[in-house]
Amino acid sequence: MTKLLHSLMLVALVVLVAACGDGTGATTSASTSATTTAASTTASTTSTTIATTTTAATSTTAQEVPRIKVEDGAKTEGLDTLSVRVGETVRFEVEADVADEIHVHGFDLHFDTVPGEEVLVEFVAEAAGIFEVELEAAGLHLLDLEVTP
Amino acid sequence: MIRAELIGHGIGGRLDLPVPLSYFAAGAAVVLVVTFVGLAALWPQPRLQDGPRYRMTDLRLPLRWLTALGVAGLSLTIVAGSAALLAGTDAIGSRNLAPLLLWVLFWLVVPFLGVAFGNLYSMLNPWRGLATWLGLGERERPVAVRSWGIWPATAILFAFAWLELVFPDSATPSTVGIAALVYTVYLLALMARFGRETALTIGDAFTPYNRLLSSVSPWGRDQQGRLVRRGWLRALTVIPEWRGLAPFIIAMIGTVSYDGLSATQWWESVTGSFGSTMFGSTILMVALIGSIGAGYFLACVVAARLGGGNLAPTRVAARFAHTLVPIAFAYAFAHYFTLILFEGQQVISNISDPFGIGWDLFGTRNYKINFFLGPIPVWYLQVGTIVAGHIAGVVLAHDRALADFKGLGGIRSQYAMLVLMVLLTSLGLFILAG
Repeated sequence: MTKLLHSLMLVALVVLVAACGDGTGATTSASTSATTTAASTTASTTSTTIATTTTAATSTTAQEVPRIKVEDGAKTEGLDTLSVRVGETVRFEVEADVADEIHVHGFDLHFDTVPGEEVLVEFVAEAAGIFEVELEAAGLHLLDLEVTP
Repeated sequence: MIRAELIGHGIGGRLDLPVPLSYFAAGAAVVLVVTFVGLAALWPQPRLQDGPRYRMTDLRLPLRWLTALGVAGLSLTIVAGSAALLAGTDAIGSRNLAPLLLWVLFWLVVPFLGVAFGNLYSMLNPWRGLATWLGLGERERPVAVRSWGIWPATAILFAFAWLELVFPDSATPSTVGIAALVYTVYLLALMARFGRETALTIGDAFTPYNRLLSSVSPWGRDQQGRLVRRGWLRALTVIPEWRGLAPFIIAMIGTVSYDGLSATQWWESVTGSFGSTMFGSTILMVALIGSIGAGYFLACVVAARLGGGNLAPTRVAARFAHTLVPIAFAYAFAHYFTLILFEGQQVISNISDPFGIGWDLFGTRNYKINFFLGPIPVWYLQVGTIVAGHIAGVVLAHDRALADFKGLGGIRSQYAMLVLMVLLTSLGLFILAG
């Protein structure tokens, strides 16, 4: 008797969970494409909010180019995350008080810095992912480059 | 969204975009359905517990050559690490083959390939090769396996993961070279003391690591190196229940979880500056492994109660440890496979200049990484792997429960175990969603 009751309860549970599960499954798959775009938009908005704490204009479409300043081995000014879409041009300036090398990981690009001069980093982001940008010899993390599809 | 601090820092500096919420939800839904269907509707009799069903093939593997390859890899790692010191090019991210050999090929590619194709490490194992050539450890003292189990290997696994995830200079060539040298001395001494195979079982983290993962594979081999078919997952059910087996597998899951979790923004906001110090991150890694272990033990206590058998919780913990192996693999694979696919390509450029001193041996030194896989297939693969690992875990646990507990006790014993597996899988998905 208890055995029967038990298996009945189990079956009921399975049906219930399966029903719920299928429901969510269907809705999510239907809205996948929409949510994906939504997700990436939210991602870029969040990064912009982070960025606005330091510089006013961070949107890649704006004329003003985001700027990062390095003094005495530390980052004193500039955004933490730069978001672009695949195929867009990444553009930012670095002003460091040391001669070093800006290394864009993943894309493996190197840009030399000259003390007191602004270096323009500019390239087309061809792959999605989150890429580190570092001041190589100093081992200083400059920003994360977030490239969304 | 995710900060790179880990091996990605030295090896590549690229991280995956977080998995979108919809993928997370779909994965979790599948996991729940599978779990409960699995609980009730899977086979009523144990199917996998008789272990591998060997079918010989005629293919013989070149064991000697593979061992020589392993020894060559170990030597190259040590030489490249030393060369970086001598040439003054010892820095994170500098061009050198040693970090790639250790952190990508040895630590990820070999075990992962093993899951599909059988235990490659047991053939490549450079330390067994060296000890054989040196005539070390001819006399086995298998009694050590009974008293120590794989506890020393568990400690080594933890130390290795600590070096990878906590130690700031993990990706410098010299760190890698020194680690390889120290480990060689340690393992040769251990082999001389306890015998080759005994020492490898108790004290070489990579022997149980590769053996556990490759037990998923349908391929094995016999002593002479003949390839043998044995069926998926079957070798896992006959893994010896060494002492420390469950802690070893828990450490596998815990360290990868730490790697993933510590890179999420959530983790950063919770642990703050404490989590960014070496001491703090060590404590947090231990705490995370400990919590997963506590969760597993709790599930075993409940299983022992509800199962109605006479098994003590510690016995249950040993009997069900193997069911976590697919989950451990899924965690690791979902977390690291883009590192292999993309950063692994650095092998192509670095092999032309293995010591970072300006050579161009094969004309490939300027090879640039080709990011040939976009984020959407990556997300599918990540979520798919986690879900597949979960399914394999549920199946293994179900099968073992039928064998160890009588009647409905088998199903009842799984309530807590399945809750734990669902939690672990959700944690895995959560990490991916960053």
